Amino acid sequence: MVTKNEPRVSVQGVAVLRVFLDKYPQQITGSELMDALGVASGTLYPILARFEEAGWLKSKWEAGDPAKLGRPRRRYYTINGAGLAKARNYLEFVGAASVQRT
Amino acid sequence: MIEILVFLLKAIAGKVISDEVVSGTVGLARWIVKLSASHLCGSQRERYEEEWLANLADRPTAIRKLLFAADCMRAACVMRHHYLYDDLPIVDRIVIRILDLCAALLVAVIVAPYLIISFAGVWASQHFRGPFLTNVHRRRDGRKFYSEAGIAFRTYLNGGQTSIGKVLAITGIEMLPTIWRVIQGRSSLVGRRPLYLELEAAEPHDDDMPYLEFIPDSDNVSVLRFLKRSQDCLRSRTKTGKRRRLESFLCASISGCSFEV
Repeated sequence: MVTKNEPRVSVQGVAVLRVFLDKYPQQITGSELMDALGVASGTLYPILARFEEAGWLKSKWEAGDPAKLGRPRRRYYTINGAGLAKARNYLEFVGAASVQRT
Repeated sequence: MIEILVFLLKAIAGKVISDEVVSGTVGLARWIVKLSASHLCGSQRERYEEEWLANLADRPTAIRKLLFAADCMRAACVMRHHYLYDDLPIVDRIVIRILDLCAALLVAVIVAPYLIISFAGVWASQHFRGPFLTNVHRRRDGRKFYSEAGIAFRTYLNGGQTSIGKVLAITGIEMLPTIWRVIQGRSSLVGRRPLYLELEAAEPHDDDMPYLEFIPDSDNVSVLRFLKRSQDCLRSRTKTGKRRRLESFLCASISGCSFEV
């Protein structure tokens, strides 16, 4: 399943992909993902960084100047085409594996 | 009457103390987030500092903010190790780190006399300003940028190379303080040398403009040397598509500077 140069996808990684797939094409912040999945920042951010590096996710800053907003800007993540295909593959794989186990 | 007064005083004191504790906890959480981000490499440092501070504000209570911040430290360690050691097994990482520390400390002891003499010489030749090139730069909008280039002695003053600077550049002593980065764990003598520029070029986001146009100030020749070395490293280590992008990025950066590399 995992080819060379592809990031390692853990159980939490699959859960992250599932959230992106469910909420596509919505933009999600790390904070929202943490609330949705109940995972800690120490688990989530390395996963997001790996997926972003692999080109599955894209991120961009919230529009606006932090000085005018009066707080630091949020970073929004979105899944792209490659990420969507991978997410579907992994979710099918996980689904098939769980059916086999039962 | 006195009992009521004591009760009121206790209530006020309790409120003041609890407010102080909450405010102190939030301050501590912010400090931990900034400290965690400082462990990251290249532009990741400022990016995650801002992102994590924004997410910290979204946590509802002071305790949750503190837990979030503490876990950011774990995230920073994992992400930093990913860039420094790629996908090496944990045993290899430990061995590389130990060997790096031993090698760097040994080199530091051996070259200590040269470092001390050079330090004094550069300090005097630079009219007693800091003898090392700073790795903190400012973007056009005033935000800080931390370059990951090696630490080097200042060899230029007012656009011209100093006489001691020439000696240091010829002998290569100007880059010796970079040993400190190995001791810090930000570079390696034994293992893979991290390509921090990979991070910069991989992230040409809207307002995160390539920072290089800000770096080549009058005494940053060593930075350009670092760029040239990085360019050489790229040929052997980076994937083809990414390499082309990085090479064009580096070439454009280097050719845009007035220094000879």
